[in-house]
Amino acid sequence: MDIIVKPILDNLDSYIKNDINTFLLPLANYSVESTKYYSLDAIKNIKNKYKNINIFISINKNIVNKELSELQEILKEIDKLDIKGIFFYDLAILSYKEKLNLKTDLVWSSTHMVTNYKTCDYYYKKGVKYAHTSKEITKDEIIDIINKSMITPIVELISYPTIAFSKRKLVTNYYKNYNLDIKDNIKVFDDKSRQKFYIYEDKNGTTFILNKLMNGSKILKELLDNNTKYILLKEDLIDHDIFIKCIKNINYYLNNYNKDNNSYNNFIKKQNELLGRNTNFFYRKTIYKVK
Amino acid sequence: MKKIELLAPAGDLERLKINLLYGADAVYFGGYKYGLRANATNFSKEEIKQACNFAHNLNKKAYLTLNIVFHNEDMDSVEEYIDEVVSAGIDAFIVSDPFIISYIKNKYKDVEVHLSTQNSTTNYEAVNFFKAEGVDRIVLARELNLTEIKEIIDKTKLDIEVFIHGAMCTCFSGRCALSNYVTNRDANRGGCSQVCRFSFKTDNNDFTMATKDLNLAHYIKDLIDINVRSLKVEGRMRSIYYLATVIGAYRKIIDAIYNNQLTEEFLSREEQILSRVANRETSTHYLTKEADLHDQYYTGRNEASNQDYLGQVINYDENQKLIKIYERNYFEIGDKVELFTPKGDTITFIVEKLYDEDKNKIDIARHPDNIYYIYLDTDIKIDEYSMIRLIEKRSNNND
Repeated sequence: MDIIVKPILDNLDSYIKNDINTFLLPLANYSVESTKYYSLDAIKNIKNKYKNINIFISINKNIVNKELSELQEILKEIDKLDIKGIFFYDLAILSYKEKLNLKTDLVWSSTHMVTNYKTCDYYYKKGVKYAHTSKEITKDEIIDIINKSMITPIVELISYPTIAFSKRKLVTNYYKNYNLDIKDNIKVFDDKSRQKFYIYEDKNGTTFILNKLMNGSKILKELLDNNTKYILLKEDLIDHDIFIKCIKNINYYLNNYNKDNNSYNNFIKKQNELLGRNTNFFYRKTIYKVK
Repeated sequence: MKKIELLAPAGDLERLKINLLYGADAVYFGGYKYGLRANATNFSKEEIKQACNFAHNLNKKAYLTLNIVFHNEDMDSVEEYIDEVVSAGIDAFIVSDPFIISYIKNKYKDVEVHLSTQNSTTNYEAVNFFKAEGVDRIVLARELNLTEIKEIIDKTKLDIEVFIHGAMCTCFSGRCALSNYVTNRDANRGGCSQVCRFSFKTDNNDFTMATKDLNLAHYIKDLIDINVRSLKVEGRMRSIYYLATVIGAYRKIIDAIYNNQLTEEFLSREEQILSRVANRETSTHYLTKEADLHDQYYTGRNEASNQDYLGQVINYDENQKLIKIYERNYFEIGDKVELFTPKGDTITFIVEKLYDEDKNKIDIARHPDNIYYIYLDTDIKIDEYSMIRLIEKRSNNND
């Protein structure tokens, strides 16, 4: 199993020192739902500086017409960089992979929509190698996708979950409405559900992030049992030291998997202390019919 | 060139009939599975058949929503369901999942597939991708402006459908799981609890993001001019009065444009009619500018109930000159009202004689859901499903 880290730093030394060699870097202007973006030049510099790492690039915004020609040039540039894959949302990217004969692999990453194995297979047959599974499905549904689909799933295991994205400037609008100094973020909460959200805005729109860390450590053993190839850890909003400790715990567990019966329990205990116990939807089915 | 299509939402068979009689060219509705309004009435297999027959008898079309984001378990019986619906006579499926698209297109050459707005398609390259997959029509994301829509149509030559009226999502369709996290109801499987209309708290204030409704009545000619194929009205859960009024108004606007009879005065009257059934303020959102401060509310839900709707006409006795109505809102002698028919005729009059169900003379129709009779002497044919709306209360009119 390989760990993919979505970092918050430009300098990747601290991650690499902890045996991380695969990174997900959101491309500035063409990516959304991130607190940290990297320009193409920054990605090239990282690639030059760290010769032995794998890089996935995220291009997950809804592309509009006027961005298409620049997007094509960017994709051609990326194709020269020996990038492991592009996380994509917009189907224009899949279309360009074929049209431009791009060799870079693609990761189907349409946020909340990667929810079943048949559609994963549809994309696999279209030349998509990986699928970034939804955070809103259960562990059993993920395992089903792993076992029944030909695609290679990437399971987001630890993150503050991004839960919605709007093109509207909702944070600016809020501050303007109350005649307050405009900032780029705000924290809100819902009285009834006691859920809190971190909402922030950039030039592409407004992102909603659940202010409760998702800790999927508990499902890691089953992911390993089912030969999952990749897990994704997103550092956004997580304290860097805590994130590094989390990586160390996971690496220790991966190295001792099946060697020691107590290692799983110890691992879960440590991770819960570090990250809390929110397992998001891994053990909780959503409903859609209200009786 | 084909005349632009007016596409209306149907929550049940009655709404479907109202829409088609009031001028919709096609209707869309959810079946008993796999639609994004899991908690609406939705149509049984038999009702789908009846709906298709009703539409086809009027030379109109019926589309079924199949636009949830499918989970593994949903896939188990979807193919059988599609087969059933095709045999019921459906003209098109509105789909968001490309696997489902490929299944339908491979098996049924004569059934159209329309890509749902759930996919939030925002550019011509993505449209071309789906065109190559056999998709017959794309319902574009509601975040696009007129220039972007035109460019997509010009560069793809695919049928494009655009939302023109009704409630708007705050976030990109398909890109919102607020409902999942706040209420455990899956927005992408039809359980959306409209969390974007909740009022949240910050440390000091309320935070709301509820959007005003969409109303593009003023831009229908622009949408026709750029060759949009279909104009879609949102609102499968809306009342029959709302649907009759909205669909009737857009029918008149579209016909006036094609007949070169659209004047500012005409448009203004229809816009006024639309505004009277609105239960929220309206805006054009993204069509002519970026959505901004003025396109949303800051004080939680803002819905006003509408009491203009006085009742539905059951029949008209031409001998006694009596309209039999099923009352929905209080009215009385002296009120100025307007009767409007599915064909678009309107009769404005003052209620002079009013009777209860037993034809006793009364002054006030107080009780919703009761039968009343109103005297009206007219030669205009008053069809079933005609309705009566309030124009002015007795206390305000001087006629």
